[in-house]
Amino acid sequence: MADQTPPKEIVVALKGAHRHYTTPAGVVRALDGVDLEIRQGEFAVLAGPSGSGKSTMLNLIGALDQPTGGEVYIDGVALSSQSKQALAALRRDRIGFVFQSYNLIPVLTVLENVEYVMLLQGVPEATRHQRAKAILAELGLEGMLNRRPVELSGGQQQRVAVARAVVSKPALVLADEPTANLDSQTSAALMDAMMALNQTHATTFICSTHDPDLMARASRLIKLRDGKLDDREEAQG
Amino acid sequence: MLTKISWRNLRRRPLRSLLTGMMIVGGTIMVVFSLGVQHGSYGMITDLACKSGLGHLQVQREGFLDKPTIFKTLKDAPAAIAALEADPAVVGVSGRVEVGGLFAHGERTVGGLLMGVDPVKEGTVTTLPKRLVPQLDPPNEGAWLPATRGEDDPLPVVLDETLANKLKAKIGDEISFMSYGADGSIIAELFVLIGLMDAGDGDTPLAFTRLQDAQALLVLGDRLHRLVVAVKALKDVKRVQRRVSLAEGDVLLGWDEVMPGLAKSIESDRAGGYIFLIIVLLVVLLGVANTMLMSVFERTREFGVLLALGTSPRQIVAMTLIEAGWLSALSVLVGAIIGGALNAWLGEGGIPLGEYSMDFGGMTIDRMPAINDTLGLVVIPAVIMIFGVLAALMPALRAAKLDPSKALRIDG
Ligand SMILES: Nc1ncnc2c1ncn2[C@@H]1O[C@H](COP(=O)(O)OP(=O)(O)O)[C@@H](O)[C@H]1O
Ligand SMILES: [Mg+2]
Repeated sequence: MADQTPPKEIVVALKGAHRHYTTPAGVVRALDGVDLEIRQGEFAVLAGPSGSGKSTMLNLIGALDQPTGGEVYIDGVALSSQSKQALAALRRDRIGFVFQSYNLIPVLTVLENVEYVMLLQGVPEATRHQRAKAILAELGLEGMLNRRPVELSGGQQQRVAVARAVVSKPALVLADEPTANLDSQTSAALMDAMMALNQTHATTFICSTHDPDLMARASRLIKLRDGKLDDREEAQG
Repeated sequence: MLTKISWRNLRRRPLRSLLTGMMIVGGTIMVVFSLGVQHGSYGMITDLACKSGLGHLQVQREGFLDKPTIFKTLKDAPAAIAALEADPAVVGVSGRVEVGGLFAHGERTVGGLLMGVDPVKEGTVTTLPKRLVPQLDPPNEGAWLPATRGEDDPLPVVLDETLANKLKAKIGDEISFMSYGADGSIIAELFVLIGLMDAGDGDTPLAFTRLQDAQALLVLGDRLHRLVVAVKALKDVKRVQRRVSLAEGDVLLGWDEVMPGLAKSIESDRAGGYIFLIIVLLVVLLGVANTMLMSVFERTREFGVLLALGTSPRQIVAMTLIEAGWLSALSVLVGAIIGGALNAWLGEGGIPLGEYSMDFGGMTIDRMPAINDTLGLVVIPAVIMIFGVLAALMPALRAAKLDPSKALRIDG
C-alpha cells in the first residue's frame, strides 16, 4: 500500500487510509480507503454530511488518531513510524488546530492562549508577546488581550482559536467545522480571515464544513460520503 | 506557565479545593500537635528519669554496664571530669562507687547495693538528695549525707524506704553492712541511718553513703566506678557524646544505653503514635486522589485540547502533579504553622493531667508538655506533602494516557 514516499511539497498525503470502529452494533467504516494529497499553500474545504467522516479524517491527519489501515504522511513522514512523544512534537511544531467549539483554555487569558504553543516550543517571552500581539491585531482582537475566553463572544473566541492555530507558523492548519456554532455573518468574516492568512502567510488550510456558502468559496473542494471520497471532487486550485 | 495553569485550575473549583485543603490542614494539625505532645512527653519523662538517679550521661569503664564489678574502675577519672566540666552543655558531674552486699539490722538481713555518692555534687546531677521521705512515727524529717564528717563521727547512711522497711530500721538505728573490698578482703562496717528516701528504683534495694567513706571502706583509694553527668537539655546528650573524648578504656554512655528499658518503651510507644500518622496519610492520599480524579475527569476535553496543541504526556503529568503540589504544599504549610503554634503555646506547661497524674521514679508527671522538633514540625509534614503529590500520580497518568481524538469528542 504505502510503497512510495510523497515529495516534500505535498504537506499531507493519505494512502488507502481506513479508520474502522468496532462497535457492539458492528464495524463502522468512518473512513474507508481514502487517497489524497494536499499541497503546500492550498486552502482545501472538506465537505460532506454529518457522519461522513470529516472529523475522523482530520484527526488522522492531525495525528490525534491512528488509521486502522493505510498510511498518513505529514511533510513526507509516515506517522505510523513515530513515537507518541514525536507525534506530540509534530502537532506542536507543524500543525495548528481549530475546533468547532473553540476549545480555548479557560484559565488562560486571550494572550496566554495564543502564546501557549510557543511556550511549549521554548520561544523567548519577548518574541512570544510580540508575535501573539501581532496576529491578534491582524484578526482585530487587539483590545482583548487580557480577557478570559468566557468574556468573549463565540466569533471572538473562534478568532482567538485561529490566532492560536497559526501563530507559530505551522505547515498545516486543520479546522473542523470552525463556523458551525457561528451565525452566517460571523462565519463569513471568520472564513475571510482564514483565507487572508492563507494568502499572506502561505499557510496550508484544511477546513471541514457542511455550510454550502463556504463550499462555494473553496478553491479546492474535497467531498466525503460514507467515509469515501466523492468522485465529483472539484479540483480548481 | 505550567505552574500558572495548575494554580489557576486549582482556584477554578474554590470550594472543592478548599475542602480538600482543609482536610489536609486538619490532618497536618492533628499530626503535628500529637507528635509535639508525644515528643514533649517523652522528653519530660526521660529528663525526669535521668534526674531521678542515673543522670543524662555516664562515664564507665568499658564492660561495667553489662557486668559491674568492684574492680572495673575508671581509667582516668580526673581527665574525664576535666573534659566534661569544660563542655558548655554540661551542668554537673558527680563521681560514684558501688558494691553489692548484705545489710543487717537486728535479726533481719537484706541484700542490696551500697553507693558512695558525693554529698554535694550529687545534687547538681540528680534529685536524690531532695527525695527524703519524712517519717511520722516518731516524727523525723531525716537528713541527706553531710558534706563533711568528723573523724570520730559514725558513718552515715541513707536508705531507700523499701530497704529500710524490710530491715525494720528507723532513723538513728545502726545498720551493718558486709561485702568484699577491692583488695579481696572481707569488710564489715556499721552505719547509722540518718534518712529514708524514695530512690525510685523498684528492683534493687539501695543505700547511699558518702563517697569518701565508701572509697576508704572498699579500699578503692580515689578510684571511681561511674561519673554521673547532667546536661542542660536532652538534645545535648548526643552533642556531648560527640565532643568529649575520654581515656582509652573509659566510655561515655547516653541515658538510652544506661536505661535501655526506658529507651525501648519510648520506641514502642512512638511506633504506636505513627498509626495516627498513617491514618492521616491515608486520608490525604484518598482525598487528594479523589479531588484530582474529579478534576481530571471533568477536564477530559481540555486535556484533549492540550494534547492536540502538542503538550507532551509528560507535561500533562507535570501539570497535574503541580496542581496537587500547590494544594498539598499550601495546606501542609498552614497545618504545620497552626500545629506548631499550638505546640509553642502549650509549651512546657503542656496539657495538665489533673487527676490522671502519674507517679514516676519518685516524680509526679502532672502534665504533658508539647515541643516542636524537626521530626514533628518539618520531616513528617513534608512526608504528608509528598503523599499529597503522589496521590495525584494515578489521575495524572490517566490524563496523560488520554486518546486525544476521543477526549475531544467528549461534550464539554
Ligand atoms: N469513537 C468512535 N466509535 C465509534 N464510531 C465512531 C467513533 N467516532 C466516530 N464514529 C463514527 O464514524 C462516523 C464518522 O464520524 P465523524 O468523522 O465524526 O463524521 P463527521 O465529522 O463528518 O460528522 C460516524 O458514523 C460516527 O458515528
Ligand atoms: Mg465532525
